[in-house]
Amino acid sequence: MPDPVPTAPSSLREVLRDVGARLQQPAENLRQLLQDVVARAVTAIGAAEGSILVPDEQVNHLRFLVAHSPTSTKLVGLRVPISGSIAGYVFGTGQMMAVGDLAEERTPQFYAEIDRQVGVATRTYLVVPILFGSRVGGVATYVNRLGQPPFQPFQKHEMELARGFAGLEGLLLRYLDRSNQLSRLAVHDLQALETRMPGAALPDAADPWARVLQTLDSLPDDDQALCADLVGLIARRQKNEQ
Amino acid sequence: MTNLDFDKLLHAPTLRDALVHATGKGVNVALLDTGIDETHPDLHGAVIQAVDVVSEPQGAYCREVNTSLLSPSELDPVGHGTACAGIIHAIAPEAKLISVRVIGASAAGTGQQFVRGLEWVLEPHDVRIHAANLSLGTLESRFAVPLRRLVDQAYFQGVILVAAGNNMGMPSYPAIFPSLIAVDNEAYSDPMSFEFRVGNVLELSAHGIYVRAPKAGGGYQLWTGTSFACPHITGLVARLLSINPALTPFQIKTLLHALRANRKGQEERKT
Repeated sequence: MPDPVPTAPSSLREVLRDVGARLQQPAENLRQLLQDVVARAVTAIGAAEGSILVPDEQVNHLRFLVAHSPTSTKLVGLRVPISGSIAGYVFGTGQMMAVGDLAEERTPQFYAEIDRQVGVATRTYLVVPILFGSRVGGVATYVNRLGQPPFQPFQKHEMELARGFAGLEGLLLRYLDRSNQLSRLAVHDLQALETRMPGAALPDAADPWARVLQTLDSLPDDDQALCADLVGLIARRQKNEQ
Repeated sequence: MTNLDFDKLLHAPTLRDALVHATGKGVNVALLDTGIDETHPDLHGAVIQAVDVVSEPQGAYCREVNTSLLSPSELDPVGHGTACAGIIHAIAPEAKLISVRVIGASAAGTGQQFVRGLEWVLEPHDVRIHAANLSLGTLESRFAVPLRRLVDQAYFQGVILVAAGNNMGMPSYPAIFPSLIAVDNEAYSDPMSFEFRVGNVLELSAHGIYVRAPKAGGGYQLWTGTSFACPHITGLVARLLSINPALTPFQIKTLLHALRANRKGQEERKT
């Protein structure tokens, strides 16, 4: 009679799961840092609200990533179409846009649905692109310049300030993107580790994602970093297909 | 009024006098942009030709457009070109405009389209193109060489190129090339005011904050950005060319320098 196969102690599995959860912290910390920067930018520029939008997994849309606003809990996660919104226009062109009075100008690109969903009336609006080198990685928005009506539009020095903050926000967005990719890799690594424990079910070797990541595991650190963008793309597609 | 000698024009009172009466008559200006809604009341009769630059895998090509068959949203789905055309037309009402559409409905175009559009401007045509407004640019360095070649070609051909700098302060092509006139935006109480900043990559700054300009489909909108400062200078260039169509790019820059608002002793005109 063969000896029974020993199983991994449940305490080890708990540690693995705890490590997995803690490895998500850097991304969450960066997101919170970005939120703080947006809050400070809004105050410095003198707007009532502000936010950052990034490309959504749903193609041709941007989504609110962070927001500093009385309605921020409603805003985060909402989507706007790239074609058919001022934020999308700025994302597509890489050029900022300032609207002096939306009600008066009836700017055709303005996507009014967000105002309806969160219960805000946008009057003055400033949107600046967030650049990653020569590529637009997102947009920063500033809504309703503070002051008494008739509303004063955002001024040149405020646009310059927004441009400056966009540089910092671009750095943080890049770090956040890398951090999210590393977190996903880490989760997969931990799952793979768990499957190699005694008594664990064998991984599905036919799963192409598992094969790709197992191959990446064997690469040196520098090559893994080079593959980070590709891994992130694969992870997003995998998620969409599920 | 026409063909005033350049040396005479350098005498500032003569220049200012001449400019008061200049309308851009006899000057043709190309706009590389999103198209022009020529049905807008402000632009009736101003647009004499329209060309689309189409991008395909094997390359970009130009095709003439019969604008009489198109609606305002088809003529300019974005509105950017119509606004720029309106600004030029307001400053040089008798200059004729040629639409060279290099940016599509998504407000983006390819570098290939841009290069091909500029090539088209510099090719011989029945109608001579004296100047081109480039309220666009690319950050991609792979287009730097072909754009530099074309900008220099324009310089030697005597076609005046006026280009908008990047709104985010990034080095953008072709605005960074010195053989054209590059424009940054500022707020001026007088929309015709501009400054010359010797030593800057963007040598001129013109009114580009909340500029009231025609909206495609009718009406007006306030526009902000270097895109809308650029046509202020293009309009002024058209007026200068109507005084003397043989003015070279170098001479035009010299005259702009003479007209600048930030001369010594000149009071501050910024808002």
